[in-house]
Amino acid sequence: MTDFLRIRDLRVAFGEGREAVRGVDLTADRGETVALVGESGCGKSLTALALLGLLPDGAHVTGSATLDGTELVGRDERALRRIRGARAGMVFQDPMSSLNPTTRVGAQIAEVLAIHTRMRRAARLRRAVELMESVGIPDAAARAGQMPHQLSGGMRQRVMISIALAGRPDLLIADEPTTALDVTVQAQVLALLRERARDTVLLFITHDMGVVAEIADRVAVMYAGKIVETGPVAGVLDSPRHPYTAALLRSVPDPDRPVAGELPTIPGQVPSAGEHVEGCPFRPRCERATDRCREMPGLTPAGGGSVACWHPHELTEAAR
Amino acid sequence: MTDDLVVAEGLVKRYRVRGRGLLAAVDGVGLRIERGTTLALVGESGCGKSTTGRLLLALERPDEGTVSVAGRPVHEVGRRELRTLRRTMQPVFQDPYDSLNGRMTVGQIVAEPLRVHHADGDRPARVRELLETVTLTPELASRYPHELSGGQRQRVAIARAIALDPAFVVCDEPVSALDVSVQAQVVNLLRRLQDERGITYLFISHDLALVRHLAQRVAVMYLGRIVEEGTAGELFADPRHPYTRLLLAAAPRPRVRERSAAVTAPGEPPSVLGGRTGCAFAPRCPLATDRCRTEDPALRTLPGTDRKAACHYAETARAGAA
Repeated sequence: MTDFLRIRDLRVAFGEGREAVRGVDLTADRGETVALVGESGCGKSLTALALLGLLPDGAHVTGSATLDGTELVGRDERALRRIRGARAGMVFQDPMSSLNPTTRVGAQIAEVLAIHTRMRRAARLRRAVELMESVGIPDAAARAGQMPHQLSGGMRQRVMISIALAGRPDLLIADEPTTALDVTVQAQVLALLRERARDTVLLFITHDMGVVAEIADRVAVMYAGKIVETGPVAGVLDSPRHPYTAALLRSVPDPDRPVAGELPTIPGQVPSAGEHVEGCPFRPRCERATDRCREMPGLTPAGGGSVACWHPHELTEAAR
Repeated sequence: MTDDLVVAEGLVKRYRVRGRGLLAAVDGVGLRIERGTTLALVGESGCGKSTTGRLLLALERPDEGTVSVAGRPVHEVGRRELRTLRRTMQPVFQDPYDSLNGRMTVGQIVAEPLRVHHADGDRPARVRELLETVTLTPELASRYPHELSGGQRQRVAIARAIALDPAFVVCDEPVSALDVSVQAQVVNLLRRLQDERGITYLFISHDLALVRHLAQRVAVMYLGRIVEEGTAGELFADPRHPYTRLLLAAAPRPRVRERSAAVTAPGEPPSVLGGRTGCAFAPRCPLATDRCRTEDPALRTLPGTDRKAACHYAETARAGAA
């Protein structure tokens, strides 16, 4: 078995009947980058937070997620603490809310090393500067002495990435890490993550299909708490099978291929958390829906990936 | 002769930064927007695009330069006339949650400009009509902003902006906070309102794909100045300023391409504090020469084109060189 990260029937519920993640199955190999894509409220961030035991109080998690055989779900806080940082790292959208605003950035990285290694103080600070250099921060020794607010957004995100990588994690979770950055800086940070995630599983959470195209090996598209389609990135983007994936891709404008007239949209709205849709959750908005869709389709292999749909789009010639 | 609704010339706006001197957020910006069309202002954070929008709306006073909207100099008119002028120019901001008063109902929010400007007529009927125009059901009038989705809130902000039939609307990142499928709905709405009402837009955005879809003309800003300006079609097909080329190359596309070809320019925009010598983009520019580091290139019309660029090598440097 090569599935280094293995998620089985993961569910996150907030109280009776308010299930936000409704049975996610996902696997990833070492060195693989899997993008978890979807619109707000689809459960992509909750799925990631559940893996690291970072969900807010009141969230009830069931199912299983193993990292190289170690179970992550249902562990106590002490065990989770050991896993986070040493085996799993996380990068969020807004580095300012994750960094301590009153501590020099070098000292913050050294602090993480103090928890997860037996290095001495001086060695930790030296290592912190090395880590900053490794994520492309110029003049790292001087930058290490600066406060977070003295760095640009891109530099702060690089610091977060260096902290997340400090313990040489097996799993790196990045939740919209470039959403707040300018496009040229976003391109730099994506290149950095591609380069540095070669030995880890990178679970990359985003709403942006353009970013998916830049970073992912595989894609899992989520809708209303479920994965509706998964497969190799080129296959999913070039020849989406699920009507939701197809509609989502159509509504993203492409700077090289302007559309005359109106942009295609998806009618209706995402069901709110806890709202029960009988059968396929996309059915009320789907142009291909039939009576059969009142029964929930399972995720079944199709082409190089899987799709949860009774009436998926055909593979295009190019993707066959 | 084009019919320009908005004409700005030589706009400069400086801010004092504590202990570090003056920062020229907008440093000599001129632009014209033809009536009923959209000019997109693009660039990265801190380039001065939002400040430019605020200067055009007379929400801020420039230190130098002039703005005229429909022939009226917006920074020189008296208070009463400015009040009248404000009816014709309206903003739509990025986050409708910040710009909508949470204690007012949707109906009150949309009716407020009508009340402030003493618009006559049947106000509740007008509010219903405005909500329908932005494809919201009139039943939402009794709701509060926090009860709405992001897309619904942005539609409320648009309904408020068009309540007084403005000629000019500044949209500052109006869909950046929305999900893609909702983005497309709001963008289509903005375009439909332009077609039906002849509204002139300044569309401020970092999203080049949206800009390509919406704007007739595009102006690219870098560190307080416009570095390139032209029709959307030509500027996207054949960018002449190296910074425009960098922005276009870095914009993510929803399809897989050769990853080694993805552009990662060195560095980030420097600060505009202190003076400049030479071209502000030179430190990041792959084509920079000694001339670029000493001589500041002026924004000039390229011979035989409808394009302006502020680059010494705008004629010779072609796509592919960067």
